[in-house]
Amino acid sequence: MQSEERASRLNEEIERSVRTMAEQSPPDGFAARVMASLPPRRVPVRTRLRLWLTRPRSLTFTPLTAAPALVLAAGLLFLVLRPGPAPLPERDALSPVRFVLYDARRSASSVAVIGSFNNWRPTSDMRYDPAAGAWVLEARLPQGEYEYVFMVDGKRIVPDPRAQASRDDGFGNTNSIVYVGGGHEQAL
Amino acid sequence: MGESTETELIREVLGGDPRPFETLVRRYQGPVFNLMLRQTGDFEVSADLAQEAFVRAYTRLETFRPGNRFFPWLYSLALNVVRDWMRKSGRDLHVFMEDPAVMEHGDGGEDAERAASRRMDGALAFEKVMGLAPKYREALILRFRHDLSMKEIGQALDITVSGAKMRVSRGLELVRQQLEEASDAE
Amino acid sequence: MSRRFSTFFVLAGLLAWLAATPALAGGSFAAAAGQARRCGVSGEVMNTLSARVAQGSLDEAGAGSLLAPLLEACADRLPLAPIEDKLAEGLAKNVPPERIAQVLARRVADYRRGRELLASGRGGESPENLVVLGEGLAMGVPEADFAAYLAAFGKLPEPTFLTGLAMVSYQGQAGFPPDLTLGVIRQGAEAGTLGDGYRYLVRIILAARRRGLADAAVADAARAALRDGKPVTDVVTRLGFTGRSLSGLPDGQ
Repeated sequence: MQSEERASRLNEEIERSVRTMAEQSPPDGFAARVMASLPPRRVPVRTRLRLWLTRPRSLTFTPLTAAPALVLAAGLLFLVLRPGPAPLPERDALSPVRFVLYDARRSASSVAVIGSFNNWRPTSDMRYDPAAGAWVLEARLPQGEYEYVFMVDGKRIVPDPRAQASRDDGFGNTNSIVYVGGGHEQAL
Repeated sequence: MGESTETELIREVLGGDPRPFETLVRRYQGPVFNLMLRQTGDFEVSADLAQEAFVRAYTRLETFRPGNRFFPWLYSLALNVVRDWMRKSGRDLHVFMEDPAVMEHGDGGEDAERAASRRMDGALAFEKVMGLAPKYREALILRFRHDLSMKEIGQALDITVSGAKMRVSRGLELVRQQLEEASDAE
Repeated sequence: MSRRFSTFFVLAGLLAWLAATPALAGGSFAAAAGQARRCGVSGEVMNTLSARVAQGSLDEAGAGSLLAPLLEACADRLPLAPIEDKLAEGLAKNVPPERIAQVLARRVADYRRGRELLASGRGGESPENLVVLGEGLAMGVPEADFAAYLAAFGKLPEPTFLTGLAMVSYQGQAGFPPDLTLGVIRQGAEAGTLGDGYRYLVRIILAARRRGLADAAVADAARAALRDGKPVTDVVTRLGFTGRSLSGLPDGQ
């Protein structure tokens, strides 16, 4: 009996030591590094269809919302049944591209890259790297020539001061340009 | 709460948008990186192997079964990554030694006072856990550190549920024995 | 009341309901939008415009003026994607709609000019060629540069023709002397070695300029590499700097 009690006390001690064990943090920028190294993914139409059909959805029924919901559902059906993009040729392998905007005092609260590669939507948020004193985004892009700018705090448009090239955007501002060569060329 | 969000993230990734995968990376980078660190003891190598584990998870995401938790599945891939590395680098024989007792015996010589003080804060127990063979050590870490069920531990270690139970209880027993020996030596 | 249903059942139910219900009436913007959709204007552009109208940040007339150049391009069978891209850019930057509409109209005109040039110099067009040429004209590359390329190399097979055309456009935008560009293309065409990678030779040109190298030196190196059948990376080696500088970042970044 006494030995059972002792065993359970020791078990608790072992559990506690494991539960509270100190762990090391992965290196800074680890997640971004992983994301930059992901290979491109091809999604077959049947996979999209299967994912979509088996997805549970929350629907709220009121007479007023039923009509837009119907339109939305019909639209979604159209999107899902539309053929997927044709397989990309080999030269569309992705190359890593690093966007950097220096901001040593972190005067901005958020920065996104908007450009022709994301349809000018502020979906590509940069992360602040305190060690570098800069906003950074590591992306992977297919070969091509892309225009972009930084969107600071959701409203201010800032061209990249370190861009490979820049050009008039036709609206009275400047766009930055990045040329992305084939994978091998980029990795030189 | 985490579960349905996770399923949703994976669904989006499978649908062709890789960005939600970053949430999963951020959520589990700590446990995966530390697993590698325990196995290799090398910071740089661990970072590379952890990265490889996430990339492998990404490329094999189609084989993930929805409804299960992502973490045990990721863990089993990560274990395979580090096993492959150990095999290639010729370290597997030593680290995956079957009987942990062989590694633990004969390291005495620690003075009693020091042993007692370490015992006080649980550091000795932790040290003994870290000294276990990986198959027991990881079972204990998954159970007590990451709160996995026996079924999930089975998934992560690629063994049956009863095998998982056995690993946890045997792991505890081995550490207990060593703590008792240390205590007797005081 | 909010409940969870399998998509399959929701879809089946909604389709049944749709079959039993007359089509929903739409407004005038919806009608223009319908025309644009039939033309193949992307759903994303249409959704953005509709959302802006719904929010009140864009009135229906403004939205109509933005759709007009797209409908025009559609009627002319010009590529829509670059025009849509410019529209998305203008909206993202909160440019006034009338200014966006002007820029789009100019872009459509540039594409028309581009198509004429291609038709006369090559006797045909592919959307890819037209986009490269149209964008080049829109960015201020002189029409004469393209005309000279078409006169000399209009009969080059694809994809070499496209590679050369892109070089004329990109290098023209960078102010690289057009005769040097044509000289490089000529060497590549003669040796049959103008690979796809040369399309972005401009990156090397810009990196070389940052290091104080003359444009003529890059042209020499490119011709030598092409003569020996080497890829564009060989140009970098011949110029004596590392590919790291191609990122556009200072060394060591």
